[in-house]
Amino acid sequence: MFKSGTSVNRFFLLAIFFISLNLQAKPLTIEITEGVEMAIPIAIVPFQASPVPTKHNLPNISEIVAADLTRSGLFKPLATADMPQTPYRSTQVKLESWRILGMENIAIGQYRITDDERVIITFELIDVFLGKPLISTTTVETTLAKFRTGAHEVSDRIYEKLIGQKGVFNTRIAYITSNSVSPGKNQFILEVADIDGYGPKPIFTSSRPILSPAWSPDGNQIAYVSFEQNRPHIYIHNLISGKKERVSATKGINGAPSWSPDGTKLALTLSKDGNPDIYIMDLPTRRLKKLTRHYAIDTEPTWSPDGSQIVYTSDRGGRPQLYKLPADGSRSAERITFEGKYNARASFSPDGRYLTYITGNQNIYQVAVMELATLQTTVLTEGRLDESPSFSPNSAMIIYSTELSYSAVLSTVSVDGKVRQKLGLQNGDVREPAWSP
Amino acid sequence: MNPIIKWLAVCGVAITLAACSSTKGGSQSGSSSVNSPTPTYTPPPKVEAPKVVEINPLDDPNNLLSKRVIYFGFDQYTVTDEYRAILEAHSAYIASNPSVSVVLEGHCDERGTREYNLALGERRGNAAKQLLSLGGAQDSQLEIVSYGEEQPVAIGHNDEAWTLNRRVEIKYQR
Repeated sequence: MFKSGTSVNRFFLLAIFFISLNLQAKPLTIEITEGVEMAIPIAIVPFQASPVPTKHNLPNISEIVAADLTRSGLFKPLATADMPQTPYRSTQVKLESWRILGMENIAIGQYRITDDERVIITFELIDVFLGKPLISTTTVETTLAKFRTGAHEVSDRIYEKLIGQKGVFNTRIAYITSNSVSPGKNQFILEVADIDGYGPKPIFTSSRPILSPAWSPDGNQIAYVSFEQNRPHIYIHNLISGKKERVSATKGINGAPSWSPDGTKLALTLSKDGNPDIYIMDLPTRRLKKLTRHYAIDTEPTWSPDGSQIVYTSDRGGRPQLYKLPADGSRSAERITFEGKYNARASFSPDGRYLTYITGNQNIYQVAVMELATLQTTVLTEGRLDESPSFSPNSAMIIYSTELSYSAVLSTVSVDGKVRQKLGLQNGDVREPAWSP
Repeated sequence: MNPIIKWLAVCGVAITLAACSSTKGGSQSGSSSVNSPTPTYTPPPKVEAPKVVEINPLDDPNNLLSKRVIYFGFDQYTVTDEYRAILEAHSAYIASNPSVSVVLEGHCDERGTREYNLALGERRGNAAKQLLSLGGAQDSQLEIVSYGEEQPVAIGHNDEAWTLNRRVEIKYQR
């Protein structure tokens, strides 16, 4: 399972001891299976609460931040027990005591909770060797109900400062869980959780299959396919209003919804004319435009981030391969994958540099990336039945589902393949992850 | 009542009875004296009219119509010869029973992507539908619903499970 030598074979199990704000929800456990060798040493000193919030059972902000940074695979936070001091103001910091430990950066901070349950966090990030603040005193405000969000915001700021790309600690994942409730009876749940596995919320529960969740670009809606009426129909669930709407229920398949980058259209697969083809639905008018007209299977459309291209899966060449088309249908389709017998279910990185998809042969299906400028392809994962790769909003990581001891779990891998982690529920299958914008 | 259904029902009864007696004879040959009551002669009761016992041919294990699942090769949607007879039997039955309607459920094994498998399952449904139509079943009687890989009958990540999961189920809507 672990290669030796090339990477630090660290095996962090971030046991989740915090009393969850939502006791019914099972948090996901997160396991870093591989991190980078040059992980940055950092100390996140416990944030001082003033006054101490006795009536709220809150985790320390520093623990949340340290866990976030550890999960990125790029940082090696110092254990609180090993800290020489616990300052919360820059004047209290004894630089020498941290230099001796080889800490390059320390984050210190404090927070207070107001009577109307706002949480005001102030923090600094100090370069220990320069003895200067990298982030001078910064305030992040949140509410008690969104306490973790405030901590993730601190993580995002630190990550962006030190790594030079946006942090994704405040993003969410949508996924499908499937459990056998009794012989022959399953329960399918569309769920949304924070990216660190906290606060999973069921969006829709059904005894019939649910698949293909897709986030709207504003993160407020999820389109998905549900068999609740015994046929594959497409629905859109609004996370703000909690309302859902059936948007496509034609004869045959209504599947593979994918939002246009401007959020006004859905690309989808319909077989109403007897054969699965790609269509574009204008959401305000529900008007359909047929994009492919081929007797082969055409499905799994996805938009390029600029909205100009659609990449999709087609077996017109005899086996499933990826093809691209202008979204306005002005030119004919062009095949883009040539290695391997089976290449399907593509999605773009938000920066437009990469395409991730499933590559396989008869018995092995893994996550691959293609660098679009060079058309160079790399297989990133080592699973047998890997599925549904989806990019993080900062284009650095890919989340996918993989088979692990007979159940499906979610995993992430960095686009360079160096950082890996697994997220898993206690039981049942967790699959088809979609990373929120 | 449709005369053909009646006829099939009678055939069904006959075949079922034959099957029952032969099974009994085979499995209980050594213990029949213990389990069976001593045969005594009872005069047949006087009946005014013969009663027709209706057995649905679809429920008759000796009728080809009771076989309602056909299987496919990996990434294939061609009906192989061994399943043609089953589809022919259903085709004849559906054609002669215009009130009957059928859903052809297409299924796949778990390999490959979910939405592609949804399309592949529909292809399998189409292949079965084509053969049913050839035998005279009307378009309005046949609907295809693909479940892709979402509803496996066999759990497991191996050939045995996969073989059972690549299938079309012929579901009569009763």
